[in-house]
Amino acid sequence: MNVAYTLQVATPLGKTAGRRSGSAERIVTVARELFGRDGYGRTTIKQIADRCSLSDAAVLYHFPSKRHILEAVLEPPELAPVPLPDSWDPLEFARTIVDCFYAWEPHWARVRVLLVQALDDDLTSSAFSIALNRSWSDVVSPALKPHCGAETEEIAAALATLFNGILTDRLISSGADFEATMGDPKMRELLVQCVLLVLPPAPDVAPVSATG
Amino acid sequence: MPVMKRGIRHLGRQETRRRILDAALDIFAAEGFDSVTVKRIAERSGLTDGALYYYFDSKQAMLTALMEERWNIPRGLEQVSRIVSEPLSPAILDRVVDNIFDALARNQSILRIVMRQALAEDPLAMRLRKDRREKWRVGLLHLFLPHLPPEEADRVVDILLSVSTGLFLAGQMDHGREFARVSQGEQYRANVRRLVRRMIPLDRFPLAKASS
Repeated sequence: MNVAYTLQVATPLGKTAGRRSGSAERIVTVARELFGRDGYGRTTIKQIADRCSLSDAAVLYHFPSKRHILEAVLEPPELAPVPLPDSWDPLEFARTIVDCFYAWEPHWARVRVLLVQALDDDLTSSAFSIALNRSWSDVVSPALKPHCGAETEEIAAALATLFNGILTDRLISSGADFEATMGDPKMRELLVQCVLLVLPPAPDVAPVSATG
Repeated sequence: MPVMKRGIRHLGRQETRRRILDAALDIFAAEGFDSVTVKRIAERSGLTDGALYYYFDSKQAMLTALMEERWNIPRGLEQVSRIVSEPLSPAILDRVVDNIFDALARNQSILRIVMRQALAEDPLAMRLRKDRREKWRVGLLHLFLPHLPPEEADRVVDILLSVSTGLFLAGQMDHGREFARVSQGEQYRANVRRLVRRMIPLDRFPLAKASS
């Protein structure tokens, strides 16, 4: 059931965002905020309409139902590929990949809505999470491949788990301060240090223990 | 005799209260909080909603009681504290992972509720979660501090805690409440152990030699 739903809703990753009209975009922005703050169940079309200075009918013109708005809110961003490094400098690569991570997710509030829906047993969130994991590997692995070889997939998976973990943990811990917490330069540095642990070390500082 | 009668009646009351909370735990964990009615919880526990109100003033009161009473004293943490004296090795990391994930599976229902509420910025849920996270953090630090520089020990523990939280929520998206069962499976565990070994590469840390 999950799989079928994935194929149905989540194939065009981030493809529709650029095509939405001004009002539709505004509706999604307001809904993201309200769903994140009050939950999907407690937010009404009327509240969204009021905040957009639109009528209910106008909102329903752009989105046939509240669930359609939810799907637009949850739609994952389109991930731009990680630039290929010329030579293997783990620190530089770690910084690049953290920068990419920040650039990929323009709306932290989306993640909150996604997690809350997951805990309310909403299959839509599963579909989007599965789709995002797939595209994560697609954009990260090519940049890792030349330097990580056979370990590429496993390193990509470890990085995804790491980012997902820290993001989730901070989202639950910091509540309303979440955006500030993620925006803090210290958070970027922490992510860089964690990524460095996962990446293979630079050739010249590789441990010399593998002599056996 | 009268004393005994009173005792039985008291036990009955406790038993009914427990039954109500069991039902509430089940239903909140499955469906969230907002959309659940008191009537449903009453039906599930075999009472009328009138009778239920004798035990709890409101849905919120049941939620509060659940969060305060049902998050078990972390048995996994006690198990972790028993490994403190052993030298740090990847096999020890595996055991830590197992202890954490056993605890997550055991507490899945209440964790779903607490995390769901923490995401909605419920102050009690945020406080409880912070408290439990801190207990685990301190417990795990004991394990790593003898072997790693303090800054690295902090980072390693942060990674362990964050990644477990992230994987728990990812598991809820991918498997729903089946996660408790799936996460006990050998394949799932092997995968997490491998990811954690990758994220915490002990061979890169200058380990203090165990002199025992």
